[in-house]
Amino acid sequence: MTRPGDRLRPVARRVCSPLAMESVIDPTIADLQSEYAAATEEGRRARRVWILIAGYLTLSKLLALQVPSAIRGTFEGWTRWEDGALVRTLMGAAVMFVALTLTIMASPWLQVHRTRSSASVAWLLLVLVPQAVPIALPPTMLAGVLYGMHKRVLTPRVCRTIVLSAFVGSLAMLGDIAWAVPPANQAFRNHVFRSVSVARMPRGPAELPLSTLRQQALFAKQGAADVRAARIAGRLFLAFHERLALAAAPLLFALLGLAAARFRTGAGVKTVGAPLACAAYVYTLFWVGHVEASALADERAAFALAWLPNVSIILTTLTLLAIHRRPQPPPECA
Amino acid sequence: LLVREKAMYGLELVAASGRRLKRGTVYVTLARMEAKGYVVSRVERHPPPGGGLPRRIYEATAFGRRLLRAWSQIARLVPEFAP
Repeated sequence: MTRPGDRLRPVARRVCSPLAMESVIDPTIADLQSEYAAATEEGRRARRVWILIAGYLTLSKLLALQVPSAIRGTFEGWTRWEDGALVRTLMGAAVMFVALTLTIMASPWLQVHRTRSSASVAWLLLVLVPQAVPIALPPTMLAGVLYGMHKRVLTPRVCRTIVLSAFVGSLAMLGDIAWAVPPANQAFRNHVFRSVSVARMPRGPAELPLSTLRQQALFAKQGAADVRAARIAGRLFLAFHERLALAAAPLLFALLGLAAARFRTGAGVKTVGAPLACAAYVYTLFWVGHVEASALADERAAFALAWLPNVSIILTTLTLLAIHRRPQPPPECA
Repeated sequence: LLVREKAMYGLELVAASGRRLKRGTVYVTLARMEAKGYVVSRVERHPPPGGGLPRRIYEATAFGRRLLRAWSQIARLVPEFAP
């Protein structure tokens, strides 16, 4: 039988120190379990619910208090070099991310201003930032890692922290693509379109939430015998899987950066290599978008094609790692 | 409370204090007091009959009692020190 707090305890053990577990978390869980068992024996259902709510609130508060020390504990024992490399990577990625996001936003921003619309700066930021993030984040992860790790030794804990940061970036991007981009995109289209017409723009695949996109694709697939319906189904399936694939891109680009950073090449090679990798990725995405859509009415084909750019990044990463692991010839004696 | 009463566990202390102590802070406070040597704790000998984690029971140490007495005397002389 699972008691309250049983599932939370292993999670807490990961966050808290053994001392905090012994002196704070375990006694709190023990009290919660005893109180809950007593209320169950007495058959007081309302009290049982209240004990659960109060107990879990207390535990979440205690765990939240432990998070700062857990973060501090993660960085304990790090050398100055490791600290410096991580800060350079994260700061470099952040600066490039802001610069690239603003660059991407510049064109639609100017377009809005050209129409002399009354859009406020706050509104434009709210609508354009979510759309710029999925384009800006993956390349800045790559550039940040290459910049931060240039001429630095890659230690396992620095790699782990960068991979974890990239994973968080990918999760945030999934949230952005799934929930923020469709309404932002639609609001921007409506605003631009309103300057020439009073009607509202119909939603396209990029303006549909993820769940609706897949539902509509499955609905269109039912009539896939018709070429037009098959095309619509294919386009919707591709849009759905492309969004998921794009969310994984920050993590994959960070891994590519870590693989490339192992090579002791000059900054020039990496400065040329990183934009080339990004360009190849964008080109593959662009090419994928031009495949005959009716061929993608089979969802597996749409999935495979949408993930093709990511697969190419994974293969490049693996190739770089394989080349790096190959035994080097001994240096020639003079 | 621990000086006046017998050994108690966290929730008993919360109840006995008339909710002046909070569930979320009682164990953090007790852990700090234990680190300073004011109280001592042990895990209860007989685990709960229904299973689950055994409770931790706290008791005031002789040092803790002496300190409380000294604190009470100071508080009588200097009102700012009163709890």
